[in-house]
Amino acid sequence: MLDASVALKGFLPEPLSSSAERLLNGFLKSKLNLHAPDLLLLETGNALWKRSALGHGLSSADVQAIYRDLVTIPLNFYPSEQLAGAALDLAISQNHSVYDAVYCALAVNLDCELITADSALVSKLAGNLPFIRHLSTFNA
Amino acid sequence: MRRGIKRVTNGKKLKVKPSDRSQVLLDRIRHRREQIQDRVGVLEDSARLIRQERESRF
Repeated sequence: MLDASVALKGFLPEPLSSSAERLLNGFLKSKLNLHAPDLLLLETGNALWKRSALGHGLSSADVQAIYRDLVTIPLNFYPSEQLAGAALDLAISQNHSVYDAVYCALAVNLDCELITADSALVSKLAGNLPFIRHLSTFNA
Repeated sequence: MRRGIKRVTNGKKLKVKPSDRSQVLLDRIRHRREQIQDRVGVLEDSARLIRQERESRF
């Protein structure tokens, strides 16, 4: 499964975009499965809005077009309401926010890796939760 | 054009394969990303933006 940071990298020119594109490519060509909590839709939407609002060179038309394509990708989404309880338990046990824990809870539930581009998350949690993997280590 | 129909050739409708649709989507995403890069260069890491947002909610 992937988090919002990885999803956005497939769409924007930024560090590790090519790795995110390989992941997306593998999914759209049915070489791998990708799952995510529905929280990803809000986080990516918010990050895109922020980029356009802060004048990062992206117009509102750019971010709207990106978002339209992002929601077109048939990712396997899971409702946060079904993950929230397990996410709270993980947040308490790992002393970490529920927002990150929602992704971790889904990875536990599905018994799969969580691929993220968030180095802080990997540094803090990958020791205890070894299914968390940085995008830079992904080679499809 | 109806979704799933590519074009009409000699009166026959050709279905768009899912793999074709995926390739069109991937090509469009890559093209837009390259256009943005030509215009504004490499952007700040989305992971950092999202991290800031997650922590600001705290």
